[in-house]
Amino acid sequence: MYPLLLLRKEIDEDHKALIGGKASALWKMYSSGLRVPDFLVLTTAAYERFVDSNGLRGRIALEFTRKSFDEMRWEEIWDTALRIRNMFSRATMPPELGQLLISGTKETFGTSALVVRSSAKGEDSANTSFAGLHASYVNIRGANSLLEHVKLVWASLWSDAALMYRQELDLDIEQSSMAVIVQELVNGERSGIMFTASPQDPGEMIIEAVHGLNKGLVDGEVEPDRWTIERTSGTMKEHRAPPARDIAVQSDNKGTHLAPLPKIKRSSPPLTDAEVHDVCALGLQIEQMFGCAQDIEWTIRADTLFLLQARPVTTFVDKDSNRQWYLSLTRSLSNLQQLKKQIEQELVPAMVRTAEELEGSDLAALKDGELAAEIENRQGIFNKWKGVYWEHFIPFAHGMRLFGQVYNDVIKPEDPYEFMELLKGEELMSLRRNRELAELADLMQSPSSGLPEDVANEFGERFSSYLTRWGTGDDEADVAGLKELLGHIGDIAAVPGRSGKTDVGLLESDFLDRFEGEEKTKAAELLELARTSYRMRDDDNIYLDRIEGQLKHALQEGLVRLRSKGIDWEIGPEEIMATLIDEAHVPKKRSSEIPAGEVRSRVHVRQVQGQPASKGIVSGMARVIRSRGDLFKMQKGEVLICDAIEPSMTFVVPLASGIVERRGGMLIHGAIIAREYGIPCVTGIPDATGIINTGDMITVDGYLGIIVIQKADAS
Amino acid sequence: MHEHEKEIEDLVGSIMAAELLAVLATKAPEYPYTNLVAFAATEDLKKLLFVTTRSTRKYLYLISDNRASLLIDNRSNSFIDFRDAVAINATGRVREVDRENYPHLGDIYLHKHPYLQEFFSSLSSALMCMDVEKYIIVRDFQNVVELDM
Repeated sequence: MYPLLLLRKEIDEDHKALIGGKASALWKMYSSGLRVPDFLVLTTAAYERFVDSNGLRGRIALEFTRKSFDEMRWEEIWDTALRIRNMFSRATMPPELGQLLISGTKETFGTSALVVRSSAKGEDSANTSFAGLHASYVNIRGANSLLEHVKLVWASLWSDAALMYRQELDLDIEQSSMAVIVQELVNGERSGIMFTASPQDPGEMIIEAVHGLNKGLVDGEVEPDRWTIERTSGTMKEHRAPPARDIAVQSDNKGTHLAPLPKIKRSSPPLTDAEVHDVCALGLQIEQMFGCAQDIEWTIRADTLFLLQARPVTTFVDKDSNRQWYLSLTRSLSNLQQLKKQIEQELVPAMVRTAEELEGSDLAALKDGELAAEIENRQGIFNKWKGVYWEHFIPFAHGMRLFGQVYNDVIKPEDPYEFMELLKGEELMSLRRNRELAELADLMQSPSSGLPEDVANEFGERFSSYLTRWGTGDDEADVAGLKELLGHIGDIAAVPGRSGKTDVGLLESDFLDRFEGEEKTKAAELLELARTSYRMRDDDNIYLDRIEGQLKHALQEGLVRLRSKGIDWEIGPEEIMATLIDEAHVPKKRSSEIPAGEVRSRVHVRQVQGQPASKGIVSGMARVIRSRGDLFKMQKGEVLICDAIEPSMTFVVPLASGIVERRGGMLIHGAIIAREYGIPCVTGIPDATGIINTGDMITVDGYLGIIVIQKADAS
Repeated sequence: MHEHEKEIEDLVGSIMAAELLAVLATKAPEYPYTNLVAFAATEDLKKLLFVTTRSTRKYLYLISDNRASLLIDNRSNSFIDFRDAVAINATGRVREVDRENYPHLGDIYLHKHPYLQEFFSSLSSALMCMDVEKYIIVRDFQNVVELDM
């Protein structure tokens, strides 16, 4: 039987596979006489005991069946990781294992503060040595907190980042395992990292250092001093100081916090030149010991340097820019708070201003060439804001995710999405828009035969105002379709149908009561941030839509002018502009955008798993949206089948009895709207609009994330 | 052939070739009746073959109602089955094969199960053939597709 726990003094060469890459490196440095803070290791056998006693392997396997990872969007991968993390968090530590850890820790460290670090199998190879895939926690105090954080480190074997790199890591339910290092916290006054060979230039060594703990540097919250040193000569090539040395991470009672740096330290770099050379020499010694270039973390307390970890400098070059972009979305609370301020105070007002300015210009007064220039101008404006949307608004959505993670860690709810209940109820713009639409529908249906003149006038004015303010554009087909829809939809739900089962106030106080003092204030700030993030997930699309609406408006003006010249075929924006500029230009016909219907096949999809995005179960006739015109055919009670619910489509949601989307995720726009209306919704169904036809009978199981298809011609 | 169709046919073909036993469900007077049978499939997957003695209840039930199902799966009896196992339900009508006129069906069966030669050749045994109307394939625990034959 393999040992579950090993003290530093008990480790030998034979234990390497049991203690993982990071612990092996620590042990090697310690054995060679280098100064390493005392540590013990919960072995991979402990991980296996934990997962097997809680049946977690089978549950992870079921998560893996939901959909092939290759087909998942990053949001779905995050959802999967959240569910697995919650499984680990709710699972019970086997009593004998917990006792072993508590007594081992007490014996080794007494009541000192601790660091809990991941040490995954195979983590020591240069090919799989990625930073930030697995979790580490600093300044852990008390037995309960230690046990909880060990579970979170284990869960991080299946973190969203690890799932992204599953192939490189060889992540496997049966084989993958994680040891955990429990280490004495060294409260360093100065800390840093070192690359004995820079990934950019192997002839150079890099040292980065900050005042305070390393966490600020590793998390990117504190900008470090950076030194570049020539490997062969040891000559310092460059010292780059940060723009300001004003903050540092320090430990407190329950963790760490960012604090202002005392003035006296602001003017001096964390290391002297002599210390830089000492760190270099130590680094080269460690490199020689391991036989390859190393990425080393260290801290200095009372002029003594402690080595915290060493791992090979990764030789892996990630060519997948999407993954890198995704990983950049994980932001800290302070970063998200800055983003919130920027979004609310600068970006949204600027977007509204932009839309209003465009709405105020008289396109009809422009000559053809001027109109073409205006279309190009509007394209540029729209593209600029689209860029802003991706750069600022999408990362801000991480606010919801950060809150969800914190909520689940402290509450350990049965439903890992319970946290969304605390975010609902914000006045989303699309709900306001739908309420206006419902009022318009009421107006249109008041008399049985034709509208009296005053009502018709009122309807006309309000309808026109609706189109302008909500950026619906004035595409003729859209406007006609919307009018037709208003005529037949009847009593559209003006108010979302909330289940009313959840006492949000109780959930909120239960969450906040888990914190005390400053922590409680921070938790309340996080909740506030998450609520804005939730609201913005919907509203940002509408702000952007309003600007796009003005681009469409200009294109429509161009199209109307070209039609009057006999051009009555479908043409795209570039051709509209070219023809407006040059009357002799004959625009090319736009190729059909609408995909062909179902290809006749002997294979029929009957049941598919996706993501359970809004709870409830319902059966109804499918209304498949393959083109915008399909939206206006929607009948009350049908199941809406679409590629993705775009903000400009939200008006049909209240008519739907269920929603099925190709685009996957629990926190995407469509899922949020479905939850607001209490409509069962399953997202992430591959090729949803291809495998389902209008008229098929669909069962949407929003509890399990399954849809069942009964073909219209098979009953 | 549609790409998806080929993928599904290949999957069904590979499992039919790899698995030796299937669960046969027949219609009994009161409750459905199930047995394990050693089966073989024709290359076009349109026929599934098995052997039974004529004195068995399954034979009797098939004579009175020839509608039946066969379940073939590749589970390994571990938790990983929830991710990796595939279960295939074949539905169709079953008839006894005239061995003299259709000797190649017997060859297909014995090629897969040579150790059943004696059982196969017994005068009391019948070579049965299901003309498959549809395969229902369950993968990833909950994903279901149908393949019409």
